[in-house]
Amino acid sequence: MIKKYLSLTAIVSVCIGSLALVACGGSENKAENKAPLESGASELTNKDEFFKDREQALKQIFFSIPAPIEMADMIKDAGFNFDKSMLNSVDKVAKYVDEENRAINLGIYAADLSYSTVFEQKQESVNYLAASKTLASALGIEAAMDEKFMERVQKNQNNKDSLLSYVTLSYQNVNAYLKEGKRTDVSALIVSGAWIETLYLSTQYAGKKGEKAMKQRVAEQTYSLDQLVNYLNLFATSDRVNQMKEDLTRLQAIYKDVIVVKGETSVEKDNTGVTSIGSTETVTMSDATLAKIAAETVVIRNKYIQ
Amino acid sequence: MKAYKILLFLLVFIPSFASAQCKPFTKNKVLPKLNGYVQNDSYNSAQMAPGEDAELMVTFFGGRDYRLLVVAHPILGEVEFTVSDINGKQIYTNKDAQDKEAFEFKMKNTQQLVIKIKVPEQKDAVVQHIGCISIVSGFKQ
Repeated sequence: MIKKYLSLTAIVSVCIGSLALVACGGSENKAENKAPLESGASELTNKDEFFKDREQALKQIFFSIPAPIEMADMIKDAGFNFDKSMLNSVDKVAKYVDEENRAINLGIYAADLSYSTVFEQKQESVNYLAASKTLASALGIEAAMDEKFMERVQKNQNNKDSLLSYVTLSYQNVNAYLKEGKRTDVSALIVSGAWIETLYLSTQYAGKKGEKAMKQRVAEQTYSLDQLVNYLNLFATSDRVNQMKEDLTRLQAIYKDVIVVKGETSVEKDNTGVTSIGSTETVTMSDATLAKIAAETVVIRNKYIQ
Repeated sequence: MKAYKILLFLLVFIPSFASAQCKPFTKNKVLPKLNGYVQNDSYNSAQMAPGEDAELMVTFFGGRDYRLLVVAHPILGEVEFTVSDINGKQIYTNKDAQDKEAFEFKMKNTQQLVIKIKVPEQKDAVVQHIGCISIVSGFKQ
């Protein structure tokens, strides 16, 4: 009993110590500031710490491939219907027990959530949000989708625009908490999972006979894939990221058959003053390449959703 | 055993929460400026110092309309941002633009564009400050 009491005391002391360190850092800042600063700015007090590995840090933060919501929107734009059978079941959420699987499947659920929301499947959207929240909590970022957030989603689930903004906000929150918590590699796995699921959904539609629009979108993913692999290269020391990189590199080898003919960019303004950006660059691929991409995407996806 | 797990959790995550600084800035000061466009990226916000620069490559899809935002905390001054194609041909600069933070455009074809940001130097500043910068893009549904 005494032993238990002592160990608990030690734990509480360390925790208080940690909090005190954080708090002291804050008060030191406040004391040195000449004027109070609103949120989003602070005095640069520790230059060595701030500029340490700065180039690498900025490269890890500033990275973008289109979020799953946009590809889902393009599937809808192409005139397709919602197909629940393609999605990764929310019932599997408890099966994902290690950090890597949780992160990748959080990305996969984020893509399924985006797809369900774009197609206005309210109940599916709520289910996928709940599954995403479970995984976010397991990853230690429950604040990204807290109870208040979920209550607001429930209240606004009949408003399509509100639901859409909550879905994009949840994806941003998750990545924000991870990036600002210096867990950028976990964020990279989430983004990779979301990209794979989005590609999987797209290839399922693109493979339909005579379908051209989605086939084109799948071919254009060559840009995002190259960017994603380059991004994962920034985390060369992380085994879990390397595993994902190996999978994507196999896919990249198939994508080499996508033909990109470089061209010139043109810029013009229309009558309303809006800029139009064009290019003579073309991206094409054969049905055989599409079939290979689709097959490899299924292999990678199945490996992670089991 | 349970107590040790709690300790581990606190030690790992207290510093994480403490370093979170640009999320509220992005949510409150940047996202409302999307003006109805649907956000289509993950999270590209960081605290930057005077004189620093950064770049971001983004794929924009053909046949779609976009709004690109580069919003910086006022303490950093007027941040310059440019948009170029992959070969370095400049498409846009906010230098002479009325709206220094937003660029709306239509994409005829899918292509990758490079967004470059540059925070002005503050050579005479007695106290140097860092501030948040967010790059956010959205598409029109």
